[in-house]
Amino acid sequence: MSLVLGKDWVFYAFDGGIWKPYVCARSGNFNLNTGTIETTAPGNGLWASYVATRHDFSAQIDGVISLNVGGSLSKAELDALQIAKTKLLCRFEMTSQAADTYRREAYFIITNSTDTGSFDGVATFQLSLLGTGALTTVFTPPTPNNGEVFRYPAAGSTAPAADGDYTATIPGAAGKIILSVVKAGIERNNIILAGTPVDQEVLAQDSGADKLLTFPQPFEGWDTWYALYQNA
Amino acid sequence: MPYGLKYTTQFDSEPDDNNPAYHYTLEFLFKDYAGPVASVAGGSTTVLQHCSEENPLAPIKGQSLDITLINPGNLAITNFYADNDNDIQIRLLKGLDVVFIGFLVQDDCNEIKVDYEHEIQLSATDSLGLLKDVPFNNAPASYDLLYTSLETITTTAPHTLQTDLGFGAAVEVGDRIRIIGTAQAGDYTVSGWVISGVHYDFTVLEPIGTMGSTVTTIGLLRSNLSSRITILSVIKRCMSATSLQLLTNIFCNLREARQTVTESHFAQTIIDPDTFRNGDVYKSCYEVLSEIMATWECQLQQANGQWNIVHWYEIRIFGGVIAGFVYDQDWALIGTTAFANIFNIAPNIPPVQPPTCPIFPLTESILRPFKFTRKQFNYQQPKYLLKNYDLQTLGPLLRTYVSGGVTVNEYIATGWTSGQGSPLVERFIRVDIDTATGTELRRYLVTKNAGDQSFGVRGTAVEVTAGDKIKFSFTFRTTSSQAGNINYTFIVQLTNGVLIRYVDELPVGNGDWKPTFGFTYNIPSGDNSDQWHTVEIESSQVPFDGLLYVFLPQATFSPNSVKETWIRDIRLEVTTFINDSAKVIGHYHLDNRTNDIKNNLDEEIFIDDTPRNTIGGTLFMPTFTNLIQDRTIGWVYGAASGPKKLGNLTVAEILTYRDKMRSKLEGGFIGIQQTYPISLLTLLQTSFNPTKYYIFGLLTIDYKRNVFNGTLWEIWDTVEPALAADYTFNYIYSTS
Repeated sequence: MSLVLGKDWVFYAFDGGIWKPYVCARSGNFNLNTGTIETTAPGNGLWASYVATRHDFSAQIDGVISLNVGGSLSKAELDALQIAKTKLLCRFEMTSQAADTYRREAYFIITNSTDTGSFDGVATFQLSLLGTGALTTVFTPPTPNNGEVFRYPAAGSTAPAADGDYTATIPGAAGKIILSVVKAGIERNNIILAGTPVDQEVLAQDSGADKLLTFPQPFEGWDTWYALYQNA
Repeated sequence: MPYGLKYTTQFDSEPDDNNPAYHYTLEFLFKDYAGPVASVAGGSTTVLQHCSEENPLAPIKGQSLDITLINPGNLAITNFYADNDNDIQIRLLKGLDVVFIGFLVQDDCNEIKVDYEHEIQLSATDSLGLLKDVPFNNAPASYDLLYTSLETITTTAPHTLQTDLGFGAAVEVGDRIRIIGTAQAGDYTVSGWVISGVHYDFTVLEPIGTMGSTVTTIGLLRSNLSSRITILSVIKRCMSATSLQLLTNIFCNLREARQTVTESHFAQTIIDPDTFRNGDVYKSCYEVLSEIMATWECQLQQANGQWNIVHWYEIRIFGGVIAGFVYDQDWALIGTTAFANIFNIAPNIPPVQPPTCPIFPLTESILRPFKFTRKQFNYQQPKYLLKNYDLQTLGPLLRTYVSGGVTVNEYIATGWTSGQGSPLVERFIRVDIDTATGTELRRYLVTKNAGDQSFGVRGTAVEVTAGDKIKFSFTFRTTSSQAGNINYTFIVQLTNGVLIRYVDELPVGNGDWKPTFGFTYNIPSGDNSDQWHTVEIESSQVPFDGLLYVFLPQATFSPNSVKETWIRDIRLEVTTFINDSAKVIGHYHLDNRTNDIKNNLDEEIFIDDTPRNTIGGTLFMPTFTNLIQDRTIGWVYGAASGPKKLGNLTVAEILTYRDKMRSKLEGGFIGIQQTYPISLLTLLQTSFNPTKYYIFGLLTIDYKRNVFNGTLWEIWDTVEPALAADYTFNYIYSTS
């Protein structure tokens, strides 16, 4: 699954030549709306029909007020941008657990800001932004994972391994998910992505276009191996 | 004067399944501007085009643009202020094609007064509505440029223009002097003048600034409304007041049966401009155009940057396609065209959206039929059947002098310049003005010096028809004492180029037409010719069609440069004898059905086929028979045969249209572009009323949102029955 956690839904504003987050971010929402006109007429029968017209979008970000965090936008700086009627280039970026990213960029006008202070907690603020102009989206859909499991090498074959090698390579498997590796007849499905493998672990890392497998024990001359993997 | 682009704003329309985004440009062109072009931001709805005339068959359908721009701080509405109605031209283009062209209207522009960015509202029209304030005789093309010459002129604010004697001597009151170049360039209407030394100081109606002695080219323009002209010429003159020179398409194939099919009947039908008088003044150009369009049931409108004259009733006659004639900006025929701008409207049933679909809710209502249509034409004699009978049209000033507290001005007697005999008796119009108050004291025509006493001064020809009766009267006196008993011979002459007849004094009140002249008038003993005498010459019925001439006398015996004859109160009345009656005062066309319907059309018309040339509003052919101009008689559609009276055809057209209940749709639609863009020149067909075709009453076009709304009126149903009605033509008789 390529879930996006709430903490990985991030707002940036382009200010002073760099992308800055706001502080201290708590939550946010982005609303994309498409207008419609009803076109129900004789011939449609009992069913209404519509045409889509134009799009508009807005956003709202909530935060805890912090006034001095370098490289980010504080409430004071956000207020100054609003008062200056600055058209702010903003980016809403979300990153999934599988490292897929989806980014939306557009110009916004800050239309509303509200600060709240309560004696029993920290001061918070809420900012409303209205999109102006076109919305740009950047997303590369991952290769669909239909559950197919691949074997390297193909069934009936064995992969080469040199005596004393600690590593093996799956050509063209960069980005794939290693399900398990069978070495010398022993299945190892404790696949780690970083660090030093121990015991029955196998370290699987991308190496260019290939997948490099690292074992805690070296191959012995008669060892064979194969790996099972899936598309991400 | 050239227009220069000063401001421009652009927007793209919203695309849909069938239409890409179209690029629109709204241009603001300022007269005599030659600077940089500024791009300005438009509002959320930059431009809305409106037609607010509900009647789908109105003679004139003007349109306007509502424009919204953004003032970021440096585009105040004062940037769009102008003194003249044609100073700022507006053009809306779709791509490179002109969709609308007109002028900014200052009255309807406004903006809020604030320091921050805000919208400003502007309005433009196609100038048709502004024609309501332009008298027909003031339209620019109602004047002919006689000549131009290089002259030394001086101008003094607010209303004085000075020329030298050579140029000034040819000017008549009512003429226009055109200054070409200089800061005072423009046309100025002459209302009077004073000769001072070697100059004419003209008083002009239009404001003029002060300019010292300057050598420049000036021109003399004179009103060309003194003779019969084509209907097309009338239309051209009225449209010249819009200041828009556009191509014109005439989608009307009605023609008088003797006219050619290769040109519009408007160019082949003649009318007297006096038809468009309203008492002493001319009707507005708007009224004139309305009367012309109503005569042939046509409609004048602008669509796609061109003028269009559409005879919508021909839709059913020619099965949805109306052939047309194309005229260029100078109203010269340049080709033919055909109207086929049909829009198809269908419901939006996914997955495919049609090019044009209705917006919910679309409502339908009904237009009730008529029981009858009736058009009545009332006969009236044109005011100036006898040109300048009232001596109000003054020719060039001959001389002016002051005598006993009276300023005496003497002018060429326009309309009374011909006669018989050699030399012609001297004649002029004298106007006496109280020198102190400027009040006119008296005005009369003067004859003096040697010349034919009876035939010396002749009026303009009047076309009369056999059976008509003539009543001619005038009042005269001599300045010299001539005691009665005096017999004068006054002349009222009729000729057809072969025969000549003169009205005799007998029988009294019904004078015979004799080959010898003329009407004997006696001043009895005890009376004197130096007293005012009124002469009334009444004829019997005119014996043949021909030209009637009336003559004014030189009533002084032994005439010289001192003894004068004064003549005033000249009147000519022609009593037409129609249908064996002298009591006919009009006619009507009636198409009537037998249905029990309490709805009808009963209206007056002002232009028609008539039985006499002397009736105001008569339509003529360009041809003559025995000196008399031929009148129109019967009309047909295109190449068809079987001519009928024009009124017969038009009442039948209207009643055919209102022969059954007609559908009216009201609502909005998405999709303003099919083969052609939506406009007033669009015929609409719906999939849910597939046999019916509609035209617009109200129309609003939102180009940005690809939406239009308005009222659609059924004009033709392909399965409608033929009209079953009885046509009647009848004369109207006076009850007195």
